[in-house]
Amino acid sequence: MGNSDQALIRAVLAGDKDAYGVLVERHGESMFRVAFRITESEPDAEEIVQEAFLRGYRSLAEFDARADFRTWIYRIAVNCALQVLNKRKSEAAVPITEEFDEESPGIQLAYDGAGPERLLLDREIEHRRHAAMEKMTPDERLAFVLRHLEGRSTEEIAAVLEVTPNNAKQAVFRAVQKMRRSLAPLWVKS
Amino acid sequence: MSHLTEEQLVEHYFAEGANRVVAETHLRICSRCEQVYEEISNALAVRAPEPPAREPGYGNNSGSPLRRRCGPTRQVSQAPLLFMASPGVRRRLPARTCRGIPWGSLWQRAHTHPSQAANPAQAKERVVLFILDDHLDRSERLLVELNHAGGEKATWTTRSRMTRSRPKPSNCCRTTGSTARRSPAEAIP
Repeated sequence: MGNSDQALIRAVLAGDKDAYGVLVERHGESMFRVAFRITESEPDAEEIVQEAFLRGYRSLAEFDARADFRTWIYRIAVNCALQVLNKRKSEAAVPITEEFDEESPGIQLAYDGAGPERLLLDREIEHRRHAAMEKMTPDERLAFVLRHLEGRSTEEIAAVLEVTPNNAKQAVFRAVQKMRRSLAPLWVKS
Repeated sequence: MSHLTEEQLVEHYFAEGANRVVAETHLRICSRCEQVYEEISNALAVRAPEPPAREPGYGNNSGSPLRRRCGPTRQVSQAPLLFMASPGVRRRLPARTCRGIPWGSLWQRAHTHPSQAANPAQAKERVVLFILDDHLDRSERLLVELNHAGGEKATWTTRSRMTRSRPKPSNCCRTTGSTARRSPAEAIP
């Protein structure tokens, strides 16, 4: 009990800086995993974890002792991840296209590497999966990662995204729909 | 026979549907729904790259950027109010105002929670000190404002009133540069 999140938070607020280190150690890796799955970038995920824990540390005095620290810090991390995704969207002015189109100004991702058929198929799958992830809105992407890759319940996702459980469920559904549509042509081919 | 919607099938995949048995039974007899469900399962079977593993004690190493960036909780700079002001406002502020008022300590005092008193007498003493301290702060600010309003007489009157109301002991450590060098008796014209 003495080592519960709540006890550690009390210790941090009483001036024990090292107690926060224990919280970081406890939740840091899982937060990095989520941040990486959302951003699919190691430096971005690192930055999100650092930023989330720093923001958490600065506003720890406002933390409601009855609440769950993990959900609270995840919410901060998710907000940081949303900022990264939004920044990325605004910076990516040129769209990435799926099909080759001479008239389209988008970047054409060519898969010209010769190799076994399986390797090509894997690359095509990964390309389409990535494209589907890019098509998702930040909320859909977060909900998808938390539900499908992290196995969180709808209620947990709703709490982290600060939406109703029904909206969280809808976000997951739309994300799955986008993923399915993006990958469907491959199942027909194979 | 009514088919299952795509939403119901996604719910079923995540084991969330209200009628899981009904959906399961329907999927066994309906090839169309079974095909859609298979497509959903295939799409969700595609896995994203796994996150790279972190070293043990991740985020809590003595040299980690987070540890370096973490100061005391609610730590603030010595003069946040002054730095928060726009350059134009700062230029307009008289130099004496910036030197004379310990903005940082005002801010910190307002945002730090004092430790608990050991006994009721100490608690009472702290309340008195806090009220007195607050009064001195407000007086000091008023004095500076009056000083820069150009009313020399009013300034001296306020200052003398303030000096008289001040207690003698070392509590009066936050005086302005000019009054600190002068004894209270000298300050009264």
